[in-house]
Parts: sequence; structure tokens; C-alpha cells
Amino acid sequence: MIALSDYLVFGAILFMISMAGIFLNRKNVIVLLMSIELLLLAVNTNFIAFSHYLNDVTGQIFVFLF
Amino acid sequence: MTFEQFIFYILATMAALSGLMVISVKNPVKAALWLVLTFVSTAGIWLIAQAEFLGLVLILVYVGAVMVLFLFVVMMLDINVATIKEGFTRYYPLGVLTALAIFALIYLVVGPNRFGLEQVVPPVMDGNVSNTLSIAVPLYTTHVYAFILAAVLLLVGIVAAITLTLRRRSPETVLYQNIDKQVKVRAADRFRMVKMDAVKKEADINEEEKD
Repeated sequence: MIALSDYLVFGAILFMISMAGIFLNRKNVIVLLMSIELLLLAVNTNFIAFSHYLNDVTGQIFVFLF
Repeated sequence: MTFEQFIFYILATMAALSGLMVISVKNPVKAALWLVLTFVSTAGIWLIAQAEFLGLVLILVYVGAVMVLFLFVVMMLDINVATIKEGFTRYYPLGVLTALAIFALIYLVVGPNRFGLEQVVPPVMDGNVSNTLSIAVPLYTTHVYAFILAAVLLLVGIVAAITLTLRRRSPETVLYQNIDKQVKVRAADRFRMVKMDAVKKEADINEEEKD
């Protein structure tokens, strides 16, 4: 069984990586945009994990509208 | 460790490592390709979380459309790699420190001591639920205003993009058909008689042979 904390920690790791990417690649706008995409991906993973564990589909609708 | 956990950890490791590659490789094209791998493995994790529709949409939209857009931009702009990496080492300690601090804070809040298996019990799902249907019905009923709002925001984005790229051309540079001018034109406006020798002079031919 996968715990909810596994998903959340995975999201935190992705968030950390993209945060570091924004700091490191300040000159490169393209990689900056890619880091922001990773940031969004981490947040969306959190939404989907909570939506799965609370049995509420609203989180997935939020992800869809992002 | 169950099979499900095994797959989850493999996908999570793949996503994290390729995410690291995205921010550390020098070439933006390679960064875009690593980003594709990150998205694909994260889509697998979403599938494990039983968000099948969103997992497949992630592959279709992000890998299929957004990545192609990124690659188009990267290859069109022809960026000089050497100048990009100038600030890399300068902000390295600050970036790593900030990232680790933020990770520690998030881990304290959402770590296994608060959202572990003992605290949050995984839901029991029956296999007969259509994920697409269960998203679609609330999307068009309960959350229809949010849906319309998203559509309006996209429209604003389109208008902004078109406005930024639209350039009004001055009448001199655009070739419109002016029928008045066409009718009033005379032969002298279009046709010019030039007086010149029918045959080249001997001196000119000799000079050309020297060159």
C-alpha cells in the first residue's frame, strides 16, 4: 500500500528541484519556464493524491482546469 | 514491499533524477527531452493514484504539445550556451540552500508522521468506476463556472498573444491596388528610354579580360 505521504514527499522533491532550477538558471528563460512547469507538476501531483485519498474528484477537476 | 510500491518508487526516482537533469544540463534541447521523461514518469504515478484520465491527458498535452512548442522555441532562438551558464556557479549555494530548506519545511508538514498509512487509510476502490465520467459530470454541473472562467482566461491569453505580435504596417510598405492610379498611369511613368551603344567598345572588352 502506498501512503499519502509518499505522494506528498514526491511532490515536495519535485518542488525542491524546480525551486533550485529557478535559482540556478536565471539567465536562461527557456529553462526557467521548464522549472515553472515542474513546479506546476508537483502541485498537481499533490492535488491528485489528496483527491485519491479523500475520494473526492474535485481535486482532479482543479488539475484539469490548470 | 508490494509490487505497487515497487513501481511507484521506480517512477518517482526516475522523475526526480530526470528533473535534476532538466535543471543541470547545459543544452536547452536536452533539458526539454529530460522534461519529457519527467512528465512521462509522473503520468505513471498519476495512473497509480487512479487518475487515469489526467495521466493520459498529461502525456498527450504536455509531452505532445507543450514540449514540441518548447523545442520549436529553443531551436528557433539559437541560444549561445556559454553565456547562459555564467550565473550558474554564482547562485549555486543559495539555490541549493533555499531548495533544501523548503523541502525540509514541506517534509515536516506532510511527512510520514502526519500523512502515513496509520493516519490516512487508503481508499478501497471498486473496478467499475469510470474516471473520465466521474470527472466529466461535476465539471459541467457543479464546477461549470470555474470551467467557463478557465475558457475566458484562455481567450484573454489568445487576445494578448495576438495583440503582442500584431504589427500595424504603414500604407507605403503594403501593396494595395489603387485603381485610380492604374487608370491614370502614362507610358512615361513606367517606361524609360536609355541611350547606349549596341556593341561594347574595344577598350571596355580588354579591361574585362584583365580582371
